[in-house]
Amino acid sequence: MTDVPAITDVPAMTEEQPMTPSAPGPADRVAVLTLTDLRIHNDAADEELVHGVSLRLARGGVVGIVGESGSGKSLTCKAVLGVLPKHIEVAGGSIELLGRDVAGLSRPQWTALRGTSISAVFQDPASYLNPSIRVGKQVQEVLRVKQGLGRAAAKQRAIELLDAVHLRDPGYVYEQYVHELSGGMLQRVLIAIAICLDPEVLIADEATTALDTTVQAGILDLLVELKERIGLSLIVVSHDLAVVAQLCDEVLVMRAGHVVEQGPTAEILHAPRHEYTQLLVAEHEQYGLRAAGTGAHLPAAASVAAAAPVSASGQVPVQVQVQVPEPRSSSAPESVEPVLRVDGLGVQFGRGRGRKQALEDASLVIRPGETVGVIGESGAGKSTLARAVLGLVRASTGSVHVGGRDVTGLSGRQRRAFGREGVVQYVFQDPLRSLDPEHTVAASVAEPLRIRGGLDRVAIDDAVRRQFRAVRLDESLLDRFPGELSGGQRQRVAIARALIGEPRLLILDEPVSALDSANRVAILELLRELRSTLGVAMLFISHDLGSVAGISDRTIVLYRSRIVEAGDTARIVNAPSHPYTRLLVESAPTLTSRPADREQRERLRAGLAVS
Amino acid sequence: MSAPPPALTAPPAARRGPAARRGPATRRDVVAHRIGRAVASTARLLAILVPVFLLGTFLTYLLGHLSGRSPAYLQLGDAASPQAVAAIEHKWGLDRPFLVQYGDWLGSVLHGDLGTSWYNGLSVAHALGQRAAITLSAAGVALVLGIVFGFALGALAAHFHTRWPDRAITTFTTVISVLPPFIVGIGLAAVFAVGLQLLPAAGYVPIQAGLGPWLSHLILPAIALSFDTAADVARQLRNGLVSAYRGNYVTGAIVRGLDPRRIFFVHVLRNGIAPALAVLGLKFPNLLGGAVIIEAIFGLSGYGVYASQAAVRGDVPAVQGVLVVSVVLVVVFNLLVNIVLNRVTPDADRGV
Repeated sequence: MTDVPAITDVPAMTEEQPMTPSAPGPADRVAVLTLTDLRIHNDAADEELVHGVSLRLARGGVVGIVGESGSGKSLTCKAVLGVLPKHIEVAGGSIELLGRDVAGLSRPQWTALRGTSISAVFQDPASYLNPSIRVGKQVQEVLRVKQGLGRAAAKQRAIELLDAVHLRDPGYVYEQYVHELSGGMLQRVLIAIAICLDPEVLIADEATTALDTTVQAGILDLLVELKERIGLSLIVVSHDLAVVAQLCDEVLVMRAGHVVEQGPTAEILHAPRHEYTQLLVAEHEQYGLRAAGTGAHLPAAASVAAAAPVSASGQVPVQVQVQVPEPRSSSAPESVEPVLRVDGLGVQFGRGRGRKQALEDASLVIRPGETVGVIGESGAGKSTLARAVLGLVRASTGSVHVGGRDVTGLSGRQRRAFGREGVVQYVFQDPLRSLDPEHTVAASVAEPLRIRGGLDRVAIDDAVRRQFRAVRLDESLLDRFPGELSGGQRQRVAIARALIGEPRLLILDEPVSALDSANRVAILELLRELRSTLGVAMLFISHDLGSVAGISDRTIVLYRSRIVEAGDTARIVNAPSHPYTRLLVESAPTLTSRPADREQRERLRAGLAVS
Repeated sequence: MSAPPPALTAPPAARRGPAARRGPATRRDVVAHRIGRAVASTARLLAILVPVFLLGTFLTYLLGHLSGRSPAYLQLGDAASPQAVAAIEHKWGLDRPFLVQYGDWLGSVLHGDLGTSWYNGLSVAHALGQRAAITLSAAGVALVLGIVFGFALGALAAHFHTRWPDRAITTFTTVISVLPPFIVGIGLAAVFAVGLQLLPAAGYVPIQAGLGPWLSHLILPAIALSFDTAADVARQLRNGLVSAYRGNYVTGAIVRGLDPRRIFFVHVLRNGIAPALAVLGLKFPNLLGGAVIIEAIFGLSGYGVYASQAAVRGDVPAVQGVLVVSVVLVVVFNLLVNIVLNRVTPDADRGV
């Protein structure tokens, strides 16, 4: 642990000058990878995509690159690995790997270099393994081809490696196909392959994105451990500042192909200069765990203007007002009729031996104007709960009351009539897939009113325009198609559609998980605002504790199809009682997590395995 | 550092089947698991094969029955007396109920006895056995040619994806796929046999007489038959490979430092081959059907010629025999294709 300067410990770093540790710092050590003014050009479209990236990765060091999709961070990695797509080329600057300029390398030279000097793991690990070959064979293949090991020796070494990345039962994992393992396990397999030839540099390009929080923490802990144990030098790329902050000595913040800020992690976190970095930091302070009232000081209201990703209409600036949230008291007295009452709800899928209990004995109450967060890992039953409330899946036990009315036993016809009333509305994670691509967004927003009937065209048109203003969408976008809008704009359209019929309950299923930082903050802000103006109750589902903590009055923790903990959000975050919740809180990437947290997480993981 | 429990990292979906079992896997478990998989997939194959065979033979027999043909008129002519007809039909057992006849016939078929020809009283199985060798030789060589040229062209087109060799191959395969085999056959015979006099224009020499003479008689009909298969296999393989090359696992393999040749043969080919193999299964009946015409052009007395003659004569047992053999050949070939597919891409986990 001595090797890691206290860079990840921000509060401690604030007193002293950053980057002057007494032990030899990363800057003093040999550089394994140096980028000098790297420029990447798209020859087909004749435009420059990356406008000069310089960085120096010291042996055993960790450099982070933060930025949203399209910022050029992945292209930079691909350039370093020599795997840029067709027509995209390094147009200027240099890449020096282990003292050798890679610009003039021939294909066989690259082949010899990859795996042995530099390797990489990426987002969506399942797609980076051959689906037709057992995963163990793919580890073995590299060892046999690149190290010339025999079959048996390579297999033995492969199993050792699977063990080294802490896959339980490596012999069993060895024999599995990709579709038989989970995302977290596959990422460990990929890391095993990446380190099997003992490379100097490992690039982790969004390696934990889209994984559950607890799984993500496990992978990040593994990377830190490998760095310490085998002296790997890491480049960690993420859209999440906290992920990078936890691991890295130095951070580059990229936006639209430019490095907008670069420096030691502590400096960037404590005194971000560029407004985009300020937004990234503010997002964590606003919607990270500290927002849930941990007593940590929040910055004074800061107005951060960030340009939204380029949409079809060009640059659409989005004003993000980041304000100190007032502490919300429970918005409705106990006596008020709840909008939603779920009692002992159970859902089963399949029958016989293939039967699966997707949800067991779930009970919850949401009162008017209240927001209840639901958190849990994928497969824990979050979406099943939401779908059962909507009647999309049949409850096998228990009951669901919406507005005092039992909707559990409705027939198909009654269910459709109930749906037309629009008491409950749903917002999905991926608005591109939940909006009809052949309809203008105005038509999509108007649809609930048209289905309900009783309004003429003019009235519907008025309502749609009002709704567009309410979700802060420009009326010029009314006649666009979903494909022409940015992700954040599409999600606003989906929210407008959900709210136009004035529902009493809005179910939001991972509404911000697919969005980048700026849009995530903006959408959460919008939801808060709509909640106070409309008084609509919300069921907010997410695997991200930060988002849930930032918006929910109360929070429910689902773990393996059961509610293991429920209560005031601040209590859940500050004093979690169930081991899974504790692990979740410990795992949530924050700007201030300390290396010591790792041991705490490991203890919790060990505890959960036996419980 | 203690191992993070996979229990936490694995979503329940990944824990189905044998994976639900926790604890260290022994070598025996793994072997048992593999055998279990093999048995299950074989059982699935049989569950399809047997009904297809029964239904196929039943329809075949029913067609013969519905044709109203009788051996009596074949032997006695149209002026036969009703008594004589009845006597002959009784002799052939045709006065029994339909299902009894079918059961009886099916029993014989299962023993390899396809009955006797109404036309000459000879064993259908024996006659077919002699001729099937000729037809299967032609279809088999055509299949090999189709696979070899189809795969070569498809792989080349994929390698030069969107560049001129790809376009040339695509044009070529489109042209040859629309040429009917009998036109190609006549053209080939005119050029190589009549014009250049390089190869015999007609006839058949068994393989026992030597590989060269055997092949020289078969190569022209086989080429004529193979065009369609080669074209379709090439097109499917090209598309399969192009989309497989887009897979992230190719990038993954490059980053691991595997060489391009290995990436093609081990990773891309394996994942891109499935559509081409499936097409091969579909093309086999065409090869058998096409043989009927090709045999007539090249004077091969194969099974296609036998079938057409039997049909013209109204020799119901002979036609039924041809159909049964065809059904079995096609089903068995598709079975083989599916077994290969299941092995090549186990993730698809398809039935038959």
